[in-house]
Amino acid sequence: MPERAAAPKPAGRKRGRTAYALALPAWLVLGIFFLLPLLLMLAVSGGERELYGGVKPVADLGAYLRSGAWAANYARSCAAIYARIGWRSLWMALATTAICLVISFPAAYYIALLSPRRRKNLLLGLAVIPFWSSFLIRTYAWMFILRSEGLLNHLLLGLGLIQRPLQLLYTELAVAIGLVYGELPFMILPLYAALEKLDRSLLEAAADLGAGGAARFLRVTVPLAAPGIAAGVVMVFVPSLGQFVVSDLLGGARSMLFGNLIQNQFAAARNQPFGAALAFELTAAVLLLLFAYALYAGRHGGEEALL
Amino acid sequence: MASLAGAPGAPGVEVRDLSKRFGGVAAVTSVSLAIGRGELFALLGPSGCGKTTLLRLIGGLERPDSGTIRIAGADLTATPPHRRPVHMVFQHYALFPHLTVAENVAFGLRYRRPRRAEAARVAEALALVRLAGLDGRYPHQLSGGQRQRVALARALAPQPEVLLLDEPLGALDQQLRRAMQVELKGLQRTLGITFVLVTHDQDEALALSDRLAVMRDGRLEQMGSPGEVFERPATPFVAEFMGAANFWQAEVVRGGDSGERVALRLACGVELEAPAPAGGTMRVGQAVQVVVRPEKLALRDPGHGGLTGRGGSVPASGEVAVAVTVEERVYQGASTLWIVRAGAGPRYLVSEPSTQQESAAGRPAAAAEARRTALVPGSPALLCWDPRHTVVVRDA
Repeated sequence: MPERAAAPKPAGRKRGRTAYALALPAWLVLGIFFLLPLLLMLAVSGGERELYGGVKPVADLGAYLRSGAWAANYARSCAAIYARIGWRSLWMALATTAICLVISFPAAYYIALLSPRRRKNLLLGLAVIPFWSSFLIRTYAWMFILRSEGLLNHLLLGLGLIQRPLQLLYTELAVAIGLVYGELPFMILPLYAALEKLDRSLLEAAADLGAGGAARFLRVTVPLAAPGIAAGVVMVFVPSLGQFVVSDLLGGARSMLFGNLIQNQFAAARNQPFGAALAFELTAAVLLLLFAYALYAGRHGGEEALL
Repeated sequence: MASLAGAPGAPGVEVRDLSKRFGGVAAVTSVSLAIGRGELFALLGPSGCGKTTLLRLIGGLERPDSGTIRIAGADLTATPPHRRPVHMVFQHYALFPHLTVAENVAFGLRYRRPRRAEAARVAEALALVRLAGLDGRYPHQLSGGQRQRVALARALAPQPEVLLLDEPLGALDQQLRRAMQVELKGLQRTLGITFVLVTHDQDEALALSDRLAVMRDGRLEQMGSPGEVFERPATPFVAEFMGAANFWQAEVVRGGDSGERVALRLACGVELEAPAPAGGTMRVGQAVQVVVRPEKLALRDPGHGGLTGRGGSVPASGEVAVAVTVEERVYQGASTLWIVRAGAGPRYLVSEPSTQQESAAGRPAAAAEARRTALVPGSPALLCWDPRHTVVVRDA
């Protein structure tokens, strides 16, 4: 970078350069580990599969692009069988997010507003304790709980609630349980952060002005917790959409998710170009969602900062 | 909400034997008071005296341990805050940050029937506090004074029976506070709504209220008009809180009923006659305290004439005089404060108008002025006052 230190520069410009310099490591990391692989994936997704895996080399790039053959994998991904898996993944991610929100809101509300101050850290600690062990191990633990001779079936049989063991493992229910379990802390923490800032006197003011419990919740608590809700939704929805470990271990053949589909293309099917096309579609969807969130956060950020 | 209309002629707020404890700490202890309809009533006291708790009890934001609260004749002791015809202006306003000014003001209107003309009521309330035109702003875009007005408009818009104000001017600077005091008083007079105001500032309570109650440690110490409380403090605490810092220990040498003149002997030996306080007969030998406000006292030179320009010979006929030593003179602009001490005893404060300070040489006051400048720390002087200004306070 050619720099001339001698000439005095306006303070604003100098500050701008300092900011860029400070952001440089982040840009480098993003470029090498995100942008570059993404471009690579985009290139591969336009290619054609070789017989034993890998990508067929293209002799004349111009002619190849004009021929339209690069779009073949994307066209194929629209087939009904893949679209159905896409829909199921979307549904599963939406349901996971909704269930996490419904479970987390009361928990975060309790920790932030109702629990005694000195118990807050303990409760927050309990919420993040699952992070202390590997996600894979915790998912295996669910297999032991849910399988036919598992803990849950033993318990239900012992209590006499059921006569024969239930088929819990390898169902969509098991996948949903696993997803919700895994993502719950990512919903509780942003909700807690938003509710913790909630000024109690605002709830008192609402009550004083005639608002009952439900009205106070809907007209004051929820709008003021909205930034936390949005952050939690993004943090849960995005990873749920691409999950493949949970559905691989807990789900059956009929509960395959988009993540499994991609994984299969790279592994069993040895079709890297098609896998890349599917992965690129997923990434594009997530990026669109994050973009929408950034727009929302930018619009409400000014007010939030003053809360 | 028909029951809220209450009986005509009933007090605006009637509190009977109200008590509230937080954990082991008594915040309010058996307080009883009645606030008239359309009255501007001030709860005055130092921080921690329970005045805010009493206000929150009236608003329903706290539940009392015992006692009753009646508003406009209806017993609302167990009624939750959102069903009381009472609205509050919170100390830090508690405006909803996600709502505009107009939405804030409209918040309470949704719960009052009829719901028609909501927009008109919002506009009316904003005009009342002279904020018309700021409807679309958010609270963070307003100044402190404007936020205060929005809080006022929001609480007034649903037309409550009683408006509660928790240190409403506490967050404003001195100049704005004076202006808002005048405005608040005018607003209350125009609307005729009962206002109950909490403040720790005795000047504010005196300037605003029709009647006031001084609180201490959760109990009512004295209740009355500003004039009564200021001129005739019932206890040493009230006297001190109202800025009358001059106390003498005294003994009754001739007793009498309240209102009669009783004879007292101060600890320094000086005898004087003063009106007996309310609340029973004064017996001979009873120990009391005597209070005189700083602005009722005058300093005189023991050898010459009047020193402080309040005239008369030394001492003026019928005046009480106590020998003191000057310790300090503090110029305070409109008034000058003298700090004097009687022997090794307590200090006394004398406040006098500063007008003579500015009189030019050659004026009649110049002679007194010349002598005054001779009065330096260490000078002997006579502390004099008209015994009619003596307030007898029972020892607490």
